[in-house]
Amino acid sequence: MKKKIMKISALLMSGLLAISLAGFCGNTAVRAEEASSASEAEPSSGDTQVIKVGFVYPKTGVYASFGEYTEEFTNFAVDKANEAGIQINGSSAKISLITADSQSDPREAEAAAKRLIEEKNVDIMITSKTADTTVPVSKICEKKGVVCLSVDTPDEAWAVRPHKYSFHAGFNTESELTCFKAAWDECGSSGRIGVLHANDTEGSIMINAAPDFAEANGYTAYDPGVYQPGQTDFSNVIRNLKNQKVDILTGVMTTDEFKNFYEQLEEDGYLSEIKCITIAKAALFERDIENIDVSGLCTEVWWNEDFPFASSMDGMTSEELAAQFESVTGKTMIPATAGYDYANIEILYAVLNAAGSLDASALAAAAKNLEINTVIGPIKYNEHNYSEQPLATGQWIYDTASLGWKQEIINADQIEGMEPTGSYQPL
Amino acid sequence: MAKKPKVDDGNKSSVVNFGPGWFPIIYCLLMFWFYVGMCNDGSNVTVPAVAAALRVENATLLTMNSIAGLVGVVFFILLGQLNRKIGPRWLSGILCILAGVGYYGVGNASSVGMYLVCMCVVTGSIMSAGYICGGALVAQWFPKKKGVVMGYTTMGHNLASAMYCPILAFLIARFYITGGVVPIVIGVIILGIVGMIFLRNTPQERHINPDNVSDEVFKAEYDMDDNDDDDGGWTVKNLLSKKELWLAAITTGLFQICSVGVMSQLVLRNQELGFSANTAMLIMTVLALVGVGGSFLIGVLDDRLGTKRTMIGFGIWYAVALVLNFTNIMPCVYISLFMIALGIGGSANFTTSLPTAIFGRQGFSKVNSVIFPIQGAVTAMQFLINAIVQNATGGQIRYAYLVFMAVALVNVFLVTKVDDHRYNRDYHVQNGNTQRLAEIEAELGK
Repeated sequence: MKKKIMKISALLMSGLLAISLAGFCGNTAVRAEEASSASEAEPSSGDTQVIKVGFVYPKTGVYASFGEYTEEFTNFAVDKANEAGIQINGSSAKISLITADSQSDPREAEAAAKRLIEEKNVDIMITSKTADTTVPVSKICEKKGVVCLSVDTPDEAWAVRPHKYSFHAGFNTESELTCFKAAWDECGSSGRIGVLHANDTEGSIMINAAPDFAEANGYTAYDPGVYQPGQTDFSNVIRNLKNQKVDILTGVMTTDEFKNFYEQLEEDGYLSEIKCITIAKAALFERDIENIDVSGLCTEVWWNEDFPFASSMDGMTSEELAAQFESVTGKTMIPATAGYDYANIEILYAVLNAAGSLDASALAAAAKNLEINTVIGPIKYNEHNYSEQPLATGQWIYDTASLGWKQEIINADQIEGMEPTGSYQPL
Repeated sequence: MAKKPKVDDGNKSSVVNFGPGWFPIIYCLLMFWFYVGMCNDGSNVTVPAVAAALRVENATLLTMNSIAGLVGVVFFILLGQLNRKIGPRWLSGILCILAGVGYYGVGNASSVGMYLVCMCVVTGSIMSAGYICGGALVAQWFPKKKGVVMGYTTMGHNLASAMYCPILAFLIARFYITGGVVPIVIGVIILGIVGMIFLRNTPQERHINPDNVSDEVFKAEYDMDDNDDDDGGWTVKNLLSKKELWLAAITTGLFQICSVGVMSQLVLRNQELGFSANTAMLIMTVLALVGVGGSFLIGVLDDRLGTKRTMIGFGIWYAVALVLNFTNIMPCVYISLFMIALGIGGSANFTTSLPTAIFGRQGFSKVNSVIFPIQGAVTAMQFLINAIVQNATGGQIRYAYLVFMAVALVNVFLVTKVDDHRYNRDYHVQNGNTQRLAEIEAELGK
């Protein structure tokens, strides 16, 4: 009898533990978030219906350079979409953008998304600029049943959970490596590649993809060991690269990590053995390359004025868009993010018009069947809700004549109708 | 009425004729498989996947795993007591179900805090199921064949090292981390339910004798006076005052430090040696499969030579392997990897076989409940050693291996101080040592 009571007690205890665990899971999902500021641009609507669009991106923090000029250029795109006309439930509607800063921090990104949904009652969400923002924002939208359209993050880094309401346009690691291969093929190396990668998501994706890709293309990829994000001492990695006798470097690093690594490689003397460096993320923008200060560095190019695509929304070509960017911001060096910022609104415009409603299910169904042309290429979401966009291979060259940086396109095989603007230059 | 096996020596020497005893063996093997997969090796796949979903660094979650390992020690203490009350059949079943619920939470964690809580539940439950309940089952079912039986059950470690990561990686690729863990969750819950329905705490409940020996052998060589109380006469205070208890906990814990410490860094160490990430993972898989044979071999040696001698040999073997690995000379490294592989299941084997050798079958659950928390606390130090040494040497894992080599040698010295059958009543009955039996009774105050 005593034993039976013990058995029943034990079963009850485990049941209680399981229930408490489930309760904990629920509670953590709705934990209190810090409030932060959001900025709202109200259209002069009159009788026109207003569509509240939440937009979370990094205005500050480590990825602030990704978000530079985003607000003004996205507002420019919104104006274009409103001009082109949006019909919701049979009457005209206009987009009102409400932006919030993710601070380049996933927790802040979640908080910002939650605030836009709960306090600002947005009808639909857009987000962009790295997985630290797009992934948490999508997560909150999935939870709240709000459609979320994102761009500007590698597809594999975004597609980490199943999505019903979230859709993404980005590029994948294979496209990135294909870009890099164009530079490897030209640099006259022995074919031994060192893959630099941090102990984070993008690093794991890169080191998992690079060996097979290299082998399939006649190269051999070596792993010099993982480093911790933000690490400043790369002596171990450099020692392994020397032992592995690599003469091509590739991988994914932040600007600061790459700068530290490169300086130590130079000090070590092994830099003279390196024929080619192709690096993702570290050298995307002019500001980054000015900081790194390495002429001949190759990187992927997401978009530029030479991309031979035009918008389904208003027929805007990449070249025209670049000119518009210059007039809106006053900057002559057009960042790749400008094309993605515009494309995000092109997609939003197409989804709203296709759905003709602000109902989340109708919006999600419209996105699922979307097939449009944008300035970053055709958009068609696959079964995992992401669209794969093409890339070109860029090389940063310091122009001694103009005393400034320029990015030459040395390969554009992924983009039909696009021609290179230069050929590979040795480091 | 006990069944009579058709073996002349009353089935004393068979290492395969366990009859219905194969059920608890396979059950324990599967618990170890889930334990190693969910708590150790599987982290290679789950941590990056969860980190990607939560957008945190892998290192953050690995730190949570370390904390969960320490919290698991607290579970040991509580569950060790509960095991004595309700028995391994019910407790292991409940713990497997709990581990499944926790693992679902790990895969679907919405915050680092939730991940930590769920990992604590998983580690505390499945580790206790494997070691506390599994240990108690082996002690009851196979008091004199514990070595070879632990050789079989610890194959779960090797099979997990070889298979768990590829299976989980396949599942995550298709169903994301959120759905990828579900088949594992279902598997461990089914194991728990099967255990609660079909498992029995003692061989007598299945109408056979311990070790599946004949009635004649059981009457002649086993201590029959074991029903007077469930604790075998032991109290916590009494146990903590015994030198052998501390030696058993510390020596087995120190070998676990070496083994777990080496294995948890082996992929990175191989990368440090210049192998690609994929090759390093492949090496791990091959080593784990080689280790299946090693587990069996160590189990047989444990039975034939005795646990103490086997542990001494194991310590020296492991120390030599680590020195060879430290040299960075590739032929030596290859030899070292083979030697490490053969030792993978060894240290886990000793965690049960040494306490069983010293204290015997009687009151094993009580003994276990005191030894395992100490053992777990000692084992948890491997995280500290790896962290301190790698910080001090700029991330060079080989120096941590050198420290593990020193730990193995110190441990060999400690093992020589163990009186390996001191309180084992079955052993003294078999050897007709009535004087020692009387001394044990006196020490227990009977």
